[in-house]
Amino acid sequence: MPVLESLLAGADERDLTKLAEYRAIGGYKGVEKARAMTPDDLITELQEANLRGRGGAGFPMGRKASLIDRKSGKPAYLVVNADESEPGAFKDREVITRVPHRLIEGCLIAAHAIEAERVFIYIRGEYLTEYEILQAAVDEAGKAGIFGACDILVHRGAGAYICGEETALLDSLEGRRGQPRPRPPFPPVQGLYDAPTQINNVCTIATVPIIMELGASEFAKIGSESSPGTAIFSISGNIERPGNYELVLGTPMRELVYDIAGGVPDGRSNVPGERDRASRCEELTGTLREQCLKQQPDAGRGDTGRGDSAPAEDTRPRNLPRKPMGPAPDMRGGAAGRPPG
Amino acid sequence: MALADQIHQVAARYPDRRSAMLPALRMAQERYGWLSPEALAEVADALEYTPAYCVSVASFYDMFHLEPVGEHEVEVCTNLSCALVGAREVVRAFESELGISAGQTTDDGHVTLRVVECLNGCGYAPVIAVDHRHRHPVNPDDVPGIVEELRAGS
Repeated sequence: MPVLESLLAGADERDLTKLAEYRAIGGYKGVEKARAMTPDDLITELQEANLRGRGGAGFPMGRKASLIDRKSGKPAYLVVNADESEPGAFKDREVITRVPHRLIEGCLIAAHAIEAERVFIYIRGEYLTEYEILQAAVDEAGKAGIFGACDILVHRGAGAYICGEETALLDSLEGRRGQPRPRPPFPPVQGLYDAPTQINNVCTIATVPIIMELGASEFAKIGSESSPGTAIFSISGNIERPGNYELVLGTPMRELVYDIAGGVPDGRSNVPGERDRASRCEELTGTLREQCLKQQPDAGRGDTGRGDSAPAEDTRPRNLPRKPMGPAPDMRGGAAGRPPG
Repeated sequence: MALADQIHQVAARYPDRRSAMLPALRMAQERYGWLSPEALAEVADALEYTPAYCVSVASFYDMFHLEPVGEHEVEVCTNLSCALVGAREVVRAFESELGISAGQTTDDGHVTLRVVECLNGCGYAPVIAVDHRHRHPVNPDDVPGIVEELRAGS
């Protein structure tokens, strides 16, 4: 079955924005399990799970954690990228509004792995309702004493697409204009306040409690061998049932578009404007191919990266303005000075 | 609570007070409606940065207003998914209903209409935000009602 609820599990039946409800389905047990482990063992577990980053680049999350120098003498930080701004993507808001505690639990587990005592969740400024839900969940978990020595701070952006790029995000979080930094040094070495910093996408971090629940070896068996687990796919545009769908990674794109999202309303079988929103943002034109939703391309096989898993279907070019409306003011201004990635 | 106290309280939560710049600018804007030179000076004093630095940061971010804006903000997403299902017609409907072009504020200072980049509600397009609360899907037919609601609410 391609559809498998794990990141969103329980959210249909319960109001998982409430701490008691999340606990009723075993929530926050993963933190206890993680805290019973040494950070080294936890990082090994995360590496064995082979969780690839869900923000688009697909970097192994456990390996990222292993790159953090915990003996640097500076405090390590965990930063969660909730600056979801890429057109077509609306998966992070699904997690934030429906399972915020799973994200918070993931933060606490990931923070333990890198011995971070501070977590920043950088949420785009335009997500007001989302911020309020997340902040309420953070407040509730904090008051319940779940954080321990760790502190989670939700930091709001103020409208700058570029801040989804991780180093621009760090500059913004430091109270500067959000401009990308030259790399190296990379954030695990010199990130927030020049200290070792791990940055992950919302969905990556929210998947971490599932690894604790199943164990790394079981998690690694789900879906694609090269990139196990599930991911939320946002599908929009001219499609019968647009929305977010949580699928096992490795599900063919055809199943998502035609079986799950119902295909295009006028029943045409080819999709001329299919877009794969990989960080390279490849344009795939022509007949829809059996596209494997792998997170990393296998060189030479014609696969593409999963990107941030947000196909936007366009089978009716007549609906598109002949001349595009042109970039909105914020894309012309300083905020969009450089494309991310 | 005075703005400066509010800012100090937030700044204390960060390892470096400069990180409170965005929250401070937001609090000032919420208080005064826009970031006037006086409001920026207050932020600068509270965080011990120069007003010029505060302006340089504020001018980078789309949600900060260095000029007065309307009491209400209507933002229409015109990015790909919304464009595919008629966002341009939604913009036009607002323009004709309000009698202004996108980017302008009504003469009575009541409503500012803006075209914005992706609000990431693509599955529910077309998406607009009224005072930063998302609404979707919004079609041209819905526009007169929304404008009326804003007029009635003031």
